[in-house]
This record gives sequence, C-alpha cells and structure tokens, in this order.
Amino acid sequence: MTFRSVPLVVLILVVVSFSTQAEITKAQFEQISRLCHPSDSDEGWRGIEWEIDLWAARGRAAREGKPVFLWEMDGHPLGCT
Amino acid sequence: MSVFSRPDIRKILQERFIVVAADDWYQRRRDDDVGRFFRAVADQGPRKGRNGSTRQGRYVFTASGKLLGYNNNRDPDRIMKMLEESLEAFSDLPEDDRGAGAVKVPQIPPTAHDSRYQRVLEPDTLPVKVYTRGLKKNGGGYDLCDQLETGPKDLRHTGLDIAVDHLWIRHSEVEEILQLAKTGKENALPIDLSMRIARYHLVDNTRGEPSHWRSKEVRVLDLRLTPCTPETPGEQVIRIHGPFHLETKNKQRGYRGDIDGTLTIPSGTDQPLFHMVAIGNHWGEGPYTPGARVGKTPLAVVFAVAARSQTVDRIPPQGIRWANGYWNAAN
Repeated sequence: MTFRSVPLVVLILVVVSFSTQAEITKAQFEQISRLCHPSDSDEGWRGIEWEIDLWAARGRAAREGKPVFLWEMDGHPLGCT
Repeated sequence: MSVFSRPDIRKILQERFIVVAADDWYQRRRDDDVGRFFRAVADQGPRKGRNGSTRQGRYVFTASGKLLGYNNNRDPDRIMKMLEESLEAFSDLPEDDRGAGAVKVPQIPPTAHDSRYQRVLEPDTLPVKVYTRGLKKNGGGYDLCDQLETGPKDLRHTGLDIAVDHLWIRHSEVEEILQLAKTGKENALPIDLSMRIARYHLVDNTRGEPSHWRSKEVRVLDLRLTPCTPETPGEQVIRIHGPFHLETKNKQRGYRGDIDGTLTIPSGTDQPLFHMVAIGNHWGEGPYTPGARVGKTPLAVVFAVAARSQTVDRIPPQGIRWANGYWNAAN
C-alpha cells in the first residue's frame, strides 16, 4: 500500500460504515414504533372529553350549568409533554 | 399526565366540569375577547402575569368568569381537594350565576379572533401524531429506559415518558410528494416539509418545552422519496428515508440519526397515512429541558397519522407559534 492510497481506503471505510449505520431494520422499526406508542395508562387523560377552545368551553359551561376546569401550561398540556 | 390517569379525578372532571386545556403562550397574549376573559379570570388568582409572565396552572371558574379554585401542583390529592372545594363554592352561588342557561355567552365571529395568537387546524391540513421517547440500546435493538440513570432525581419531568406533539402537513405537500413519486425515480422530499420535520420535530421534548433547531444547525438532512411496489393492489406506497445531523454551534446539543418509513395512500381512499421512525443519538438540553441523560443516548421519534376527528388530535404543533417560520421552514 502506498502512502497516497491510504486516504482513499479510509474514505471507503467511512462510507461503508455510514451506509451500514443508515439502515433501520424492519425489526427495529416495528420495535421502536411499539415502544413509542402510548398505552391506555399513558393516555388516561384521553378518557376525558377535553375542549381545546376556551370560549367553546365557556359556552358549554353556561348551557350545561357546570364550572369550567382549565388546564393552562406553557406548551399545550395535551400536545407537548 | 399521571394526575389524569387517576380514575376518581377523571370521573369527577368528566361528570361535574367542562374540561379545557390551552397553551398559555397564546392565551396570555391574545388581544381579543378570549384573551381578555382568560386574563380577567387569572387576575383573581395568584398568576397575574406581571410583565407578561406565565399564568400557567389549573383553574376552576364559572361561565361568567368568577374564579372558584386554582393550583399549579402535580399532586393528585391536592388537585382532587381543589376540585371538591371548587364544586362546593359553585353550589353556594346563586342560581342565576350557575344554573343551566343562566349565563349568556355571545358567539365570537372568526374575524374577531386575534389571529396572531390563534392556530386552528384548517381543512387543507393533515395532522400527524409525533411521539418522542428516550430509549436504551439492547443488543441489536432498543428497550425502554425504566429508571432515571442520570440527572436530578427530583425533576418534575424525568424524561422517561412519551412526549406528544403534532406535525402539520398541507394536502398540497402530500400531492407534491405523490407527483414526484409518479416519476418512478428517487427524489428529495420537498424542502420545507423536510426542514419542518427536522427543525421542529426531531427534538427532545421529553422533559418540557424543547429548543427547536435553527436553519444553520441543520448540518445534514437528506430525506428522500422512493416509490415502492405496494403489497396491496391499488395502494400507493412511498418510502421516506435518509440521514439527519442537527447540532448547535457550540456542540452542546445535537441529534444525529436516520429516518425511515412510508407514506401510504390505501386503495380506494385519498387518506394519506404517514408512518415514520427517526432513531439516533441525542445529547444536551435546552433552557426548559434540564436533566438530560449524560452523553449521547438513543432518542426515538415516531410519526403516525392522527385521527383528526378527535379534539386532542387537532392541537397545534408546539413549533407553530411562529407560523410563517413553521410552514416555510427552509427559509
């Protein structure tokens, strides 16, 4: 191997290494999808009939004679974390 | 979310209250009847929003705007106590302040909303659920992190749970993808959609509001469209795949990995189904996401089409506060 050929070999190894890393196998895809899908206990809050419009909630409260419960966060409470 | 996983709290909320959730960033700013009503309620409690500061918390109030209870605590027992005391206060009110139909709430025409601080899912927009979770390597695959390996143990957000956000895609963008696929060749994913996914959704939001990526922090992003042979006759399947490398200039925060998945148009429908997975190593934390795991650790992001018909699936993306920047993410 000559000195000048070394960088080329290194480059090929890097490319091969990267292309191997770039594959998400079918098994990994399915596993990750499953691990990141919320369970019923993760999303117990879904059992509640949430409004996301304060004015609509106020209107319903008036019509139905109930108080409003508002959960207010920086970042939507049901849509962020 | 653990508070609302408790059955007695779900039951009392569902049966005795009208329940609403909102992003305070919009609510405290909007200059319209909705914003003024909210601030008038909040001003009766401890969160007066001095100098534009947060008013977050849990409020109970009447349709007329009388505050009955407030707390900003995650302890389910304290929340239950606040709910019960608020119901007592409600029942003590005169009938003309609490009876069904006693309070008249006027309609607000759409044009009277402060559009700077309101985001609504339009008919031409497809919502996609985005689930994010920190994982750990397990042989050739991955597993859940079931305990906090590093970081302060008393953090409110341990980062072990699934974070939820929504990706919004215009139907015109789906159509553009389908047109590109018709060429039968591999193509680049339209650049605004590609950058929207990277800058606003390949983020670690498992411990709170994430920092989004600046354009210049997108070091590598090569999302490609490859038409696939469908398993079911009549359906269209397009693979979306490629590497990404996102990193701040000081290298303190980054995320590097790959996306793979499909956009499917099932036979006989025009309903696009996205199912994509991003997996790679993430490192660092933002101002509102302290307690990151030490070093570079696996973070997964899963994109799956939302039902749309459910209210909670219509929640705006966290990153759309600056709407123009979200939609035109390549600029």
